[in-house]
Amino acid sequence: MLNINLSRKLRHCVIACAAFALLFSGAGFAGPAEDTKDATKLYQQGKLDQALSKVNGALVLQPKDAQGRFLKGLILTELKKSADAIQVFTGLTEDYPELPEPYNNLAVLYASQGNYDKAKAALELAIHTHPSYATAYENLGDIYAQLARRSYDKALQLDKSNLTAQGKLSMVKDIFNLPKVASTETAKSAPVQVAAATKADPKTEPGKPVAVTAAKPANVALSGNASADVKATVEAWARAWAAKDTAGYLGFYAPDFETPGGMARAVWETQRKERIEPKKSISVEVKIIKTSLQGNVATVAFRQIYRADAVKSDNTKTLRLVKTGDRWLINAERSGA
Amino acid sequence: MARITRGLGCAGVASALIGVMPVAGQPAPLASIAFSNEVEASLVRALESLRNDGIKPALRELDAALVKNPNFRLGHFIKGDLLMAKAGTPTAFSGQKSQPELVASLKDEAKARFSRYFDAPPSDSLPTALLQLSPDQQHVLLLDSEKSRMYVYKNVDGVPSYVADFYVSVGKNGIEKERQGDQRTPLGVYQVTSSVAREKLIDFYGPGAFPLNYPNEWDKRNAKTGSGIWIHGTPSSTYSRPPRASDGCVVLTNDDFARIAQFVIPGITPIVIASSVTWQSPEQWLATRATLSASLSDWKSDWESLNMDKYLAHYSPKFDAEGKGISSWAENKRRINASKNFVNVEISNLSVFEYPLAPDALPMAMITFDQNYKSSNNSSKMKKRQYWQREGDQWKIIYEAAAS
Repeated sequence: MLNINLSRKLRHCVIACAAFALLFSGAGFAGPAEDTKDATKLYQQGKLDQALSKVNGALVLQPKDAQGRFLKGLILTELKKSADAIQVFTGLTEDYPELPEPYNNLAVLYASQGNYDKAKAALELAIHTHPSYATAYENLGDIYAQLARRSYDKALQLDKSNLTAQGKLSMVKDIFNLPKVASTETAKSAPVQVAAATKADPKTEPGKPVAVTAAKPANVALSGNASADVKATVEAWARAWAAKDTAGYLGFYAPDFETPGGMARAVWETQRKERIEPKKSISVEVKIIKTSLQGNVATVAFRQIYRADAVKSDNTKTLRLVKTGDRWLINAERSGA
Repeated sequence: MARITRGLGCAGVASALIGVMPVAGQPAPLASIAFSNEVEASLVRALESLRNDGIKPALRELDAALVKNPNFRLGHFIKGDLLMAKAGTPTAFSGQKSQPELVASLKDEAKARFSRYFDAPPSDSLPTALLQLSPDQQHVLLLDSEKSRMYVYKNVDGVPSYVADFYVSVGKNGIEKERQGDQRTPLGVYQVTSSVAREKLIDFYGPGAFPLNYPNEWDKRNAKTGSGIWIHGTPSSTYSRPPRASDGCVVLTNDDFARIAQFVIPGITPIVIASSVTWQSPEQWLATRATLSASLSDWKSDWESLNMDKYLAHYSPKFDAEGKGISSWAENKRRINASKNFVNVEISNLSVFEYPLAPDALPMAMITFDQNYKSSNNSSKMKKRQYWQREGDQWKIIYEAAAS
């Protein structure tokens, strides 16, 4: 598992060093890996130009670094430099053909240009590299729905430029299966993340208040045995999801839940509702592999067997839950164990 | 391992697509079918692929057809359904809320096109409508309006032999045209009278048109009105039109129009327009044909015998030819033949069509021939047309006149 969130200590450093980094392009004391982390932070704060300079600096020293290039692709995407972003992600697919994420993001970019055929091809490659890649499946489903829409319009001779629906597609913001070079570096930062994540930073979550009041509290009776309670919570979460009880389902997420790519909570919640509610039927089966407890933080790895209409996936997932009052709430959710 | 569960999705769509029409028995193996139209072949093969091999090969098949014919709307629609199945929401003709009439007409077209292959007539059967073709009728067109299908038969020693068949559109309100403006296609036996070239037409008619001789003598006798019933193609923006789309014309795709144009000779080629074609086994067909040819042969020999009672017994009490009822016809024939010593009638260039009528009507046949008449005091050559109706177990003449 990899997490590219940064510790709060580093955040301060990033801001302090930003001007310096701009001048020296990371050619110095932070080192390229640190610079990439700083760039990630800047990116999450929406300081896109600074983030781009930082990551470019890191890439001067480590031009092949997948993490840095991936981040650069994300930044360029946010900067609406689609052509440049496509170039970056394409380069990643050429150098790291085993990674599904760059294909996925390439697909989202192609789709945003209305180029559904290329998007479809990229997603098929993502799935080919990683047959249990749920995001790519969901995106591919959306691409097929778009292509279908286009065919229906041709059949019914409707002439509309159909560029509205690509908003549903998900850009992947993390690489889960980094190539070896990168993963050794990131392993070091793993303990820090958990500690950092237990403290919420309200400033970075503008959508939070609305979202939390909208969600119903999840109803799980706690036994006092932390391990059993965590298990019961994860199972109840899966049941709410399968029942398409989105209010209940969203109620399992902590106010400081790390939304994918740091998107606004309200946007993420809307996206989840849009994904879940239209499905005719959903089933979610959870088989817990490992639960580890560290004070009020529980990390649960499990096998998730998901079926919705014609889509089926079977992969591992990790939830990090934090005990909040008398409930365990999810504050991180990742594919992979 | 995650994957799109192909089996469920496409079996669902395939059966829904096939479910748009009744399936009678096992379809013929597609490999053994010679398709008359390549686009339709792709559509049918796509459906077959969908049942056997899944969505991907079905989409490939459709895409190949759509690249060549980007205006094939039904193809786009079915592609939409297949893509929805891939998106995880299998649907067949139900996913579309907008323009329900247009969607319904595409569904009808699918039904017509698919049922040709999944609900086909027995391959050795013959159409009862075509009982005898005259030597100059090298080809004949036969339209089954319920199935939206036009068959081309060639003449092999007077016997129809299948050549090809095509999807067609007829009038918005169906067939059995009664009057001008009723947007129906006439039911009957007609002839292509002429050929109108593309240069003289607007784009709407496609590559050409073949006007028909509606109203014919039977229509006039029944006071039917209207005119301008043509066979023609489609506008350049449209590959094919729904089964019921025209103001009464018979409409083919431009590909198919070009093919039938090879067979049509203006002034000669007949077209039989039926609501539903009746098929018979070769034995039944020969028996039907023999009964009619025996009736005609008896009529001729009874005339030549100058036995007026026997001769006039071939005429129905309902006989009516250009205002002459049976009594004035009989009186006239008795008077003419009284003075003759002999009559000799030669029949050639014979054609016999069972005439398509409403289902509750008595069976009728249209018989046309060249008549070489010689008698003791007179002789003539003419093309004659008779309509015979079956009354009980007898065929009786209800109309007789020179044919134009």
